[in-house]
Amino acid sequence: MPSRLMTYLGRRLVAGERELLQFLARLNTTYPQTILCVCALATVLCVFYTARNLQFVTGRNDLIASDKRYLQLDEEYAREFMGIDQVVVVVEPRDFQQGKDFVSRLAAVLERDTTHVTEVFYRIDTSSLEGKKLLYLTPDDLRALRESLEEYRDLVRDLTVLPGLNTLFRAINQQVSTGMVSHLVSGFLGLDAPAREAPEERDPVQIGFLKSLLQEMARALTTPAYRYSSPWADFFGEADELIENDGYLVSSDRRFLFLMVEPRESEEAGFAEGAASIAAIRRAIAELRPAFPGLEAGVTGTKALDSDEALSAQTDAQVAAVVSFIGVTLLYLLFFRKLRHPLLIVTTLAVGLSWTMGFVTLTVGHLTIITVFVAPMLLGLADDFGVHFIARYEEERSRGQDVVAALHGVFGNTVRGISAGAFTTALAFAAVMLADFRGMQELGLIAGGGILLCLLATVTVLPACVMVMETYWPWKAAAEEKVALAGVFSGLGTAIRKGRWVLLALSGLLTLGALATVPTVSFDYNLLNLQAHGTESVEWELRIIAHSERSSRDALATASSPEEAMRKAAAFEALPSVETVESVAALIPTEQEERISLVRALAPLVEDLPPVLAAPSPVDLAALRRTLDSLRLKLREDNTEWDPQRKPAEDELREARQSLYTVIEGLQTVPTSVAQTILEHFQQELFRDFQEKWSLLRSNLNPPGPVTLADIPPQLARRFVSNDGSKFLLQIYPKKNVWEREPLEEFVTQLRQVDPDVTGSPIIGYESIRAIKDGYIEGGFYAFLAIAVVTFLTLRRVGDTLLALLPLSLGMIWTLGWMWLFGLQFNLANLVVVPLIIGIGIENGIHLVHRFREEGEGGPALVAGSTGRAVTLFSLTTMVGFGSLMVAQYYGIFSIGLLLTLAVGSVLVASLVVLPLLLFHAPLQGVGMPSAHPLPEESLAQEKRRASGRR
Amino acid sequence: MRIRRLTSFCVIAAVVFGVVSQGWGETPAEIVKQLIGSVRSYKNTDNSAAQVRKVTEETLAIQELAQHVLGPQWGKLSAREQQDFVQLLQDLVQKVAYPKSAEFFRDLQIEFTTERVNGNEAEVETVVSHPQEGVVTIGYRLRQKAGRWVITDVLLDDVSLVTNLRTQMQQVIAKESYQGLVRRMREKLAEES
Repeated sequence: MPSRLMTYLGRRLVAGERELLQFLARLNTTYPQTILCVCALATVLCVFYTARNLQFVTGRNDLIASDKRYLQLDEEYAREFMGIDQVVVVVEPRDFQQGKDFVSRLAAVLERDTTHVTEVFYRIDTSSLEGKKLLYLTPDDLRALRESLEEYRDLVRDLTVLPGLNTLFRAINQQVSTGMVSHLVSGFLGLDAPAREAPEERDPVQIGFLKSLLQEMARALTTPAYRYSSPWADFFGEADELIENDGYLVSSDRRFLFLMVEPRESEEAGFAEGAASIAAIRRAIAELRPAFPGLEAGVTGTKALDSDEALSAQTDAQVAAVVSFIGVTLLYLLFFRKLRHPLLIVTTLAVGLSWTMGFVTLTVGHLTIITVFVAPMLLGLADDFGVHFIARYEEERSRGQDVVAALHGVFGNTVRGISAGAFTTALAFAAVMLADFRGMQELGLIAGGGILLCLLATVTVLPACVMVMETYWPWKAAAEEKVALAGVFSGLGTAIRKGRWVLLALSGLLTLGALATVPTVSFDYNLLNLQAHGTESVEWELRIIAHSERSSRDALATASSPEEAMRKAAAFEALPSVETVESVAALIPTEQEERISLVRALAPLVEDLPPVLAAPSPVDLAALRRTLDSLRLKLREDNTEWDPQRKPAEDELREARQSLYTVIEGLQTVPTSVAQTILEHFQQELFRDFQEKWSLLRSNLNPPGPVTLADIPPQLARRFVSNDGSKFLLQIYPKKNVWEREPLEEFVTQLRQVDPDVTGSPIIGYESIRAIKDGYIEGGFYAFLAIAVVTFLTLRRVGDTLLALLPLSLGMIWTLGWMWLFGLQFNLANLVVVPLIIGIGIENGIHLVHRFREEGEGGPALVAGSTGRAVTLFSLTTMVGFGSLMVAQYYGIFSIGLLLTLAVGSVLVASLVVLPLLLFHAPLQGVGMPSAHPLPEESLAQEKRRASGRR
Repeated sequence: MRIRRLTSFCVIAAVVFGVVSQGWGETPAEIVKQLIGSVRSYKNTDNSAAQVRKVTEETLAIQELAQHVLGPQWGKLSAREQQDFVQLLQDLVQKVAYPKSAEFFRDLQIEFTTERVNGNEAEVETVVSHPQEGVVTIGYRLRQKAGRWVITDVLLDDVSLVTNLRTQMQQVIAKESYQGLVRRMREKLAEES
């Protein structure tokens, strides 16, 4: 009973399809002008509607479903806190002072440019913390500072009274001498043995400052583009960034200064969103830079990266479109040897694309970085409709059919194949919509709908155009020798017949080889790798990662009180993957009572020393050499005169010694005048730095009380405390490069153990990449499944279905082998081609199997016939269309072009070589549902051809 | 090792600071040269030991040194204790500092760079150098007493050895006791003998 029902339903389906095609054929041949008018009107409406309403969105957040909590929180934080997701200007100056001057001037320029900029943040006004700044030193640092001030009191006094490199090294040398003499004398008198009753514990001598100072001097003398880095931290302790650097935003090694810019939002959102502001910032940088020799500066941050990516993609898409158009047109001309056919096909495609854009505007309303390539995608997928249609029409006309009969012939045969392919591909894209990723869902809807609309254009606009054109420009039969590449295809068919076993064996080997490379196929998670080589925002991001401890990608979390923020910050900072946490917690020191008393205890040690240093004396090179030479004797490797308890760590000694040797050697080899200049400059930086720290110390010795929330500088408060004061933001910076997958996964996983609601760029990136990847894989799977089912429903035979799927399957396997050969990885951009390959690949198989069933001829005849040529032309135009993407600078697009070209090429070879060979022996009747019946006027001729074929 | 030898030399020099030099009318630089020459010619033989004893007894006023470094403690000692302490210092100079200083100076070059005389006081500066190991400045302070120049202090890169010696001894006395100081010095002597 079910079998009979299936047979009945199958017959009804076939009958319905046949009636619909007959109706369409009659409609087109009877009312071509009316159809063209209606279609033209619809096209105009679509273009107008699209131009008025379609938007472009560039953010990656726009690819994710807005119901995701991490996305909602990220958007919420962006509204409630200042400074999230700003454009970051990175400055790498020759020295710190130059950097400060540049940043100040750039800020002034940008603040005046209210057209493009709403806020500039480059310096924290710490005046509200005046008197309390030393509370940002930890209790241990404060104790160490006290010990340093006690132990090196003479040195500090000398430096404040007579600052200069000579004084500094003389004082250090004397300190070392004192220490050694002390030990030597005690050794001589037997005073070095510990007391019997209570052995005294003594700390090693701290030579960290000496080591850092020598290292800096060595770098100054040996590095051409030397940038000063403070060695004083080893003496004064590591002060908080907040009170360091005069309030400027500086990387921990003082290599970079940062300036944050809030660009003015453009009213016309689109790819140009933010781009105008970023371009204005870059112009300002370029105009200022000549006045600062040796300084480099650039723009980065998520906004700049997104904008550069979108602009790069847009530019590439335009170039690719031109290359693609020229290439495809040339191919059409080569195949058809006539202008009219390419013209008809392109016109039909243009109409189909216009309708698609109207459909996109109506249903989705915007394009994203994924769907912006809908036009080339549809060109690649739908151009075969027109190609197959026209190729068959030519064939029918060359058989002597008049225009009406020829069109009926096309509808009765080829349109069935085109429709089957179109519906299959559309269904594949519909299946993609099942993926849990908004970007993919939109792609599925747009591409699937677009294919059907292109099909609609193919069965309306194209035949109507043919009818009208035949009226004014009648078709003429081409001479045999002018049939496009007939000889080539004929030769190919012969070659296939003669060498079929060899070809089959080669195909088998190729397949096995490709399968062996499957384990090497991987997915590149690093979005920076998609960007064009040399993209400014990427280069600066990489430079920050290479030289600093943090990238511009920070995760975000919130707390409901400063106390909770402190607890959370401590928990985050305890994670191995976290470098640092910035929050209101970091702005309010802990253990403040203890710190206050420790700070006050410093006062007697420095109060009698001058608050302002005199100008350093010129460097006396000869005296400096003598002092360093004397120091060298004391830092000798086999110096046994160190008090065992006070001897510094051997590593530190070795490093200090090595740097000392470098400095001494430098002073011997560098010309005296050059060395003098270098050291004068170094001395200037060193003592300006010392003065800053000394002033900071002197003016903060008597804190009036603990630091409270009210003391926090307003620019920072707005960044860490929400507008209504109810939330406190934590910015969590990763330790490793979280553009790479494993560090990113580790970072996100660990953060979620502390707070499941953590969000921000790394989390969104992690989730979106995972969703995109899973979406494509899931979508690809669904698409393949849907295609297999629809192909079976279309062909109604298991054997034919498997044969139709063969080019696709083989092509995909071979593509993996090509990827290995070309060193190509899957990435976020080129995964989009997976459903495309499936869509394109299946069409070849369906058309060839349809034609085989229609004609009963496999092998060479199938290759040399119009279907073989159409499949070839379709594949080549697709390869040219997508291959044109390889002109792109943006690597993501380049990789799309390369992957799809390789895949379509592979599918084409499988379609033209392997499938026809297998069809030599394939049975015409398989198992399954009843076979499709051709239209009545074709059935007799077909039967005749089959009969003669069997004979 | 050279540092240790250098130190020993410095300590010897420090010890002799209080000694009324048997100046024989020489200049301050000549006094310093005589001392260094005696140290450099030292050999570990009975004859040499006798020579050292003779030189130290003739040139070093160990008693004044002892009195200076012990400070107020000196007055609290009995005459016998004071004599013992002076002898202890003398033995340390002879048996510890002298041999090591001799060894130190063997491979080094000594350059007398400056001699400054200011009334009854004088400074002599020397540069002790080694080609591979750098240089160190050793200064000598001298005072004229009864027509003779005597060495009052030795400075290693301007760091006074005598001051350091006095400071350390006072610290040990304050922390432990005079007996503790003497015990340590005797142990050192036993260790080096």
